[in-house]
Amino acid sequence: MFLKRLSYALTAVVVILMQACQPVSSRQPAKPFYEQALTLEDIPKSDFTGLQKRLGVGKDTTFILNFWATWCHPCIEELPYFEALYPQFQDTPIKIVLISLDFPEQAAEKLPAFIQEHRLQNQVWFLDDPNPNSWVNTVESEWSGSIPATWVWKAGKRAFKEGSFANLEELKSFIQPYI
Amino acid sequence: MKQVLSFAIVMLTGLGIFIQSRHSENKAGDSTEGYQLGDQVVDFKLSGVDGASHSLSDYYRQGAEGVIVIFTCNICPVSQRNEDRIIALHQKTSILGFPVVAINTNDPEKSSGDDFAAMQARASDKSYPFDYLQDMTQEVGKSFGAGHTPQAFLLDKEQRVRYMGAIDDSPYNAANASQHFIEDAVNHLKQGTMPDPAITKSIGCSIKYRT
Repeated sequence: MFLKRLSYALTAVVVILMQACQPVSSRQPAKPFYEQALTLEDIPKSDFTGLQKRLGVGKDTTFILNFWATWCHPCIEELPYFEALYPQFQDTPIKIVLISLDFPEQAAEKLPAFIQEHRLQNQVWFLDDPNPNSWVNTVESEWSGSIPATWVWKAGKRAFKEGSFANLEELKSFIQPYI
Repeated sequence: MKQVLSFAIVMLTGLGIFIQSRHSENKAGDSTEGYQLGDQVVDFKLSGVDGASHSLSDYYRQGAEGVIVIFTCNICPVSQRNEDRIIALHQKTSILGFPVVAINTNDPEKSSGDDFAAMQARASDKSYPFDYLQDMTQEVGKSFGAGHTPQAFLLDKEQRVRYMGAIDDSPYNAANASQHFIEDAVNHLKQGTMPDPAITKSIGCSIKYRT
């Protein structure tokens, strides 16, 4: 009797764990990000280890990660190309995430305001990790550390580009092999 | 009963392996051409905000044991956050024989606020104790493979690159820095040893090259 209950309990644990490991995309509301990101607390924040863990949760999700900041003008210029792809990837396992490298003490003031002003539809995550030397090479050893930079993260596959996309077509052809 | 138990254990183990196994890499990055560690830097001559021309070889003729070349600029917010640090660095290392030479490679046409007059104004406002040079042809930035600002290179007495990368481990906030990479690298050279680490990474603004 005890063993039977234990096995039920363990099975329940397995089921819960399996649900927790579902692709991130299927667990998140499909509404545009600006509708939910009103304050900094509404924006997922982590250090680089936390970011890696988060990427690992998405079983069959392909992440297109764009490193940017509200203080980076070339970054802001190319954001519309990522935004243009937002409708196309709804209800697919492809997820664009704009990884903000804003200055921590400015983030509360600048990041939600920017998201609202530009009505950003893609998810924004705030990467608050003060020592880039500890993580830039993990993204890509050839990365000098300049932003913008774009990282494609798919099970078993990685792609990286340092610098801006000149137009939407250039971004599309960069991600095409991974989607 | 045992079967259910072992099924549960197998599932849990499987999940663990699945999560662990997602770390393979497949690189397809841009590579930046430029000097590598140990390369001897070719002499260059650039205009400084003091109105004079400065050659790399000048510093050595004036008795430098090495030179800290830092690519920086007026307008990059990360450079601005490192400005006081670069001043303090020069004050510390120049007396050891390692002056800072700051170089602005940004195309002033593409980077408003990085023209020569603005460079002169900034250097004057902050009383830069080091030379601030304009790399108008962008040849020097390209030869170093400089990708962003701020980015530092330490040259030894033979003008060979012995360290490249970040000033310290906290580019956004000087108060939080615990490893002072450039200073440590200078101390290594003073003691006749090789800097360790010799290459570090930071975050910064892309240098605006003419395309």
